[in-house]
Amino acid sequence: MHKLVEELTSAYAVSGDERRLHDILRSALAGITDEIRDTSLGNLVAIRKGRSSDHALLFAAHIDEVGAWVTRVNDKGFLGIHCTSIDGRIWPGLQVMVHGVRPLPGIIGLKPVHVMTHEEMDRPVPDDDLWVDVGLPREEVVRLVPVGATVTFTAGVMNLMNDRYAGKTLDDRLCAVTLIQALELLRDTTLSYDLIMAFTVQEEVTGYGAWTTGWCAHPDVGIAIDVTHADTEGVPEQKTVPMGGGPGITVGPVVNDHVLALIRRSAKAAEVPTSDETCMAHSGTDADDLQLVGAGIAAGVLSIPLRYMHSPVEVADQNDVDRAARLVAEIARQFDTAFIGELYGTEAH
Amino acid sequence: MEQKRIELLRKLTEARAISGREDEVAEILRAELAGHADTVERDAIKNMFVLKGMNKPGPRVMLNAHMDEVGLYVTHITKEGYLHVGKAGGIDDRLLLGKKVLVGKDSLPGVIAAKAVHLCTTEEIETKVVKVEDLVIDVGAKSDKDVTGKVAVGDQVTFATTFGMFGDGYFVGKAFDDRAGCAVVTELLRIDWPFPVIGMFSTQEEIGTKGARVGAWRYTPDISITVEGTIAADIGEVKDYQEVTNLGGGPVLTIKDGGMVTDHKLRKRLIEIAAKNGLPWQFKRMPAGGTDARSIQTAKGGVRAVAVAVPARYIHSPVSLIKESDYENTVTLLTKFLADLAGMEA
Amino acid sequence: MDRLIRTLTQAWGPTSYEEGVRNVITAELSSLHLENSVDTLGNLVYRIPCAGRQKLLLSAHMDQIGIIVTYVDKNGFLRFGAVGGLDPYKVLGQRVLFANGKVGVIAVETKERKTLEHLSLDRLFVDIGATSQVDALKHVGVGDFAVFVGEPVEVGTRVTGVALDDRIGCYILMKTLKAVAGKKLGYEIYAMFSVQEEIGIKGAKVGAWGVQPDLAIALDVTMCGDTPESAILDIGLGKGPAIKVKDAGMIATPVVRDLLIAAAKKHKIPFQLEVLQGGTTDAAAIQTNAAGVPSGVISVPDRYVHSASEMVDMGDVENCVKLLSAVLLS
Repeated sequence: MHKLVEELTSAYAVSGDERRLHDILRSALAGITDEIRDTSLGNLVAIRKGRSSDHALLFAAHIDEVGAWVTRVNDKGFLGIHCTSIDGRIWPGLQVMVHGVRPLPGIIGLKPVHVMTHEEMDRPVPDDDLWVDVGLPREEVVRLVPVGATVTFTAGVMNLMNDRYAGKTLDDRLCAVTLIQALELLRDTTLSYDLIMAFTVQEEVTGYGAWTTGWCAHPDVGIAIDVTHADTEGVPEQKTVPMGGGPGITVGPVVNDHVLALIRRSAKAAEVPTSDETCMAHSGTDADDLQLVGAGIAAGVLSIPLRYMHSPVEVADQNDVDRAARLVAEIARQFDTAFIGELYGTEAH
Repeated sequence: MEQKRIELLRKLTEARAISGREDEVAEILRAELAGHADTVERDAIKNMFVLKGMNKPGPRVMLNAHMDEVGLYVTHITKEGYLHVGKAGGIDDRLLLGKKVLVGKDSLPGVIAAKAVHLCTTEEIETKVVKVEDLVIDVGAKSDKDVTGKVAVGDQVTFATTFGMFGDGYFVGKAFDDRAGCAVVTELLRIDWPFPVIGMFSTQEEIGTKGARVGAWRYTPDISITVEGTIAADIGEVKDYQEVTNLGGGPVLTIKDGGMVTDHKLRKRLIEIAAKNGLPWQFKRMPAGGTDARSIQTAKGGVRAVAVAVPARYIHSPVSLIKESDYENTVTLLTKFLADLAGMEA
Repeated sequence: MDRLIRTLTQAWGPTSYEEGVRNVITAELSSLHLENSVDTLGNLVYRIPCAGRQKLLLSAHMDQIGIIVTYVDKNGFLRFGAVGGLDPYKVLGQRVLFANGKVGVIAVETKERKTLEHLSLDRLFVDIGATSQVDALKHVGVGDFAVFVGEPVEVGTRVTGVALDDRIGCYILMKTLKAVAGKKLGYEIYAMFSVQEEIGIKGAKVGAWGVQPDLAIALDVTMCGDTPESAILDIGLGKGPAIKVKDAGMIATPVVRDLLIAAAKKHKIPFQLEVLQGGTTDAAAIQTNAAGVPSGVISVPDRYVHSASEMVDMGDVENCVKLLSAVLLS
């Protein structure tokens, strides 16, 4: 496991708070990029200059994580929460982190049996009945935790067998690691054009990060790299890609034909096994927004197989990450004048 | 709180011992009590007895806590290397999804799989409780061959929760029910009393107070004190009359639980001792639940039994809380009580 | 109505607090000058020695069901839990009595109509007429026990009142001891007035250990199936003692069951046979003592068990005394 996996996934940044990650990212990017800028919404854009800046290839990985927001404090000093994108059935019995004035560990517990009615026991706990216990008196809680403070799963990556690991926010920090790994692989390579690695914000809620990044970076090609569902016990095979089978390549209207061809021949050149996935109106990634910025960006989607997405125990295989990094590096190498010619339909540019 | 005490709680709560597999805890306790016991014995159900002064005059006093914790166990290994599990003790199914666990003798790390939210329907999320038999544990295996020699059917699965400080004077960790009790009894057994003392660290409490039943038969005391970790439901929106106990309210004295009524005189004496020493205490305000005391009380010709507990939030779940002061006050109360029993100056 | 029935049923004795009942019994039986002892949990055991005879343990329990206060709210209302098996519908509207004489009324939350459709004990509370929490705490506290209120009243040949379960069993046992006093008995008798039956037949278990009997007969109440639209049960008032065949906790040992049937027939005592689907008695705990004890039960048919107005037939009660006496004398 790349050392950055633990560091990045353990950091806390729910959509909106992404600036907290900038220092870690800047430090990881030092020496392997030429320029780093941040945008008004908090995107971090790292540029590796090529021989010419006439064209640019952008990869986008989002750095925000799913979480909940504090909606109220009750008489006992417990916090009520609101969340989207997380299966509410995960919260009971979970240790969480509350990001108030300072980070506070919390527990979301369950009412004991004697306090529940029969109907309650057979149903998942409704969101209104989830309460975060931070073990502090009410006055302290009110002082330390404003309404709107975020609540996340707790940090810590657990090593499993076969180079796999489990932890929070592999979605999508693992892809951020992939991009950095790719830059490390390209350390001594001269690129034809600029390579932009964008660490985007708010993918989980609005997609505005990708949107605004696309605008200010105005690349020719924008490839989102996100996670996708890996084979999961109990889920039909057709909905997932095999874990350990290499990155996923998305096929569908969001993906530009030339970009898809570029990805495929890069995979072949780098000897990276891949799996195909489909999408129609939405890919569910930053590519959906990148494709429609301004006059349009030729978009593509790569993904890393992940089990148990949006849970505290997301599981990924480091081999898939390594392969994705090699694929990204190869795509960058193959983003040359010939490709630009194909993309714009002329021989030379 | 004294570092030694914190370390004892850390060691005990991080040890892994579901019903029937209590050895790791027994060995920790044996080491902690080295030099303080006349004899240490294990019986067929693996209770551990720490005996002191059996030839002394006076009432035979039993100090009891159970070593097992609520957890899971492996019931089946699939061809793909996933583990199916069953419950060892009472635990609400809704607490299991998405938790980190340790499997088997080598503490193999694993996670309780939680299907990605995107792959669930709204109806599922809002109405369907995923039952334990429909869960699997993912240890990263690619096939069952990966786990051969590392995991076997029957292996224990415990929550990967570490002990630590929390909030305003609390401890967070797993299994305070009943490692907090084991710790209290350990501290009491380090004192030499003028009457016979039977320290009974029992097994299989969580699946029917079985260890205590035969343990109390083997060494039937005159007086028995069971030290437990009991429900504190002073949480969320629970109504005040349903809270049962409060963290910070002091050691909990049971009058009646789901299984027994405690000895009225002994309990009253505990209250008097608490008052005399300015110690907080509270009643267990719900006649529910059960402890080893119920099995001890009806051994042979009857035993005068009481149950004293450290209140704990979220027992029988992956992570629970106790308050430092409650633990300390429980040790103090019982130390003073036993001293009073001995007629000693406390 | 024998004033002893009043004295017995009005003695305050919820499970674990049986002293009051014990005192009534010891006072009443003092004239028999029988050897007696009280064990660790409070069982009161009388012994009538009889050399060379089998030890017969008789058991009737002294404890009655009740409530335990779990909370005194800010307005002086009390929340409570059960001591023994309580049916919330039978408890609603009843009065309760604390050891210090304080009386309360059990009422229900009325905010939601459907509360009454699925009533549970935690929707009920006790009103002792307190004007505030402070006022309430002058009289009662968390952990206090209370029993249900109901003076025994003669209704025809029957008696209705609180705690006939199992003070009527104690009454039968006491009357039997008096009836056979000084006579030659067929067994060494241990007459046990047991404790803590209502929360799991605990007194009987340890009491049996202390006695190590050869056989046993419990005296307790059983339900009736002779009221309008009642659940099917072929037991009714006025048809004589019910000789237990089976209940939820035991199968009456055939030798004891048959002994009771034979005695009933021989002395022309009317009797019924009892198969009870829910509930059990002290006999179940005694039956599993040591290597096993052949055990049976003489049951007193009792309508409205575990309510404040249970009802037994005095003819049945007398016949129980006759039957038990016949067994002891045989």
